[in-house]
Amino acid sequence: MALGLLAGVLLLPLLAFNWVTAPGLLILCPLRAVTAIPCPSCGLTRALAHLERGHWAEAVRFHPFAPLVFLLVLALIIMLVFELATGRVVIGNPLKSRRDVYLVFGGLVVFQVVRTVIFFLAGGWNVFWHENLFARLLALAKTVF
Amino acid sequence: MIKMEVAMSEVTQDARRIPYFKNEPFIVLLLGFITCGLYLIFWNIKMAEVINAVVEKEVITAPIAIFSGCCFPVNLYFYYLVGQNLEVIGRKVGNPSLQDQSVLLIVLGFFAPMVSAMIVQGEINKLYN
Repeated sequence: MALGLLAGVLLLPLLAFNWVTAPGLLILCPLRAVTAIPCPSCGLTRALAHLERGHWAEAVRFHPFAPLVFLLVLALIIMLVFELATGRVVIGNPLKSRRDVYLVFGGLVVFQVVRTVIFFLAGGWNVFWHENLFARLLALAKTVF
Repeated sequence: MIKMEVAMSEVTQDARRIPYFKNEPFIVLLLGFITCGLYLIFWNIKMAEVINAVVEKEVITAPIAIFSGCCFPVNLYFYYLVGQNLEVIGRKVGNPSLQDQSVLLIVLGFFAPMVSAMIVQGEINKLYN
């Protein structure tokens, strides 16, 4: 199952490039669908789609960690295939201590705070007020009644 | 009488070993939205610790817990792992039918991961009652 999910992470953006990068795509992230603010991983699928097509600048624009995630997922797929083929366990847990776990979490917090600040500085207030779930429901109600 | 004391002692030992992480399920949903998903990553880390302690082995590693909070398909794997251990969790919380919810957790994990989180939190809360 893990192998299938990891392969899907890389294959879906590659095979369904046009669908993934279409501007009016249905928002799958529940946080973004409700608040209109991107979550820590929002844009990663689009970033991977561009990365796999060689559009590096676009990929980093959608998500700065896309190259890192791509390499990580690729390495995990290779290691999982190796494990399945040889029966030897090669994937260990790199985050054994709680300190390391919370360091990574702290890094994610910093990333999300910076990302949210950049989002609002780059005109995000407009997106936030007009594209959150309640605003869209209100707009829908106005068109109906 | 001795059996009862042994059972009570096991319950006390379990309570000491299992990290305390009791929350109102609605608070999980609310904080998930307010913090733009950061709380859900923290929740995954804490819940992985609790579930590992409940089932007495490392079933959800820290990297899976972290990435399931911020990478879409990985959260399905997180709830798959939780679902696999619902039988043990159900036994501990006194709800043997809990394992029937494993498919529900994965399906909800796909569309609304915070609802799955609320269900798991609601069941885990029973550990501390």
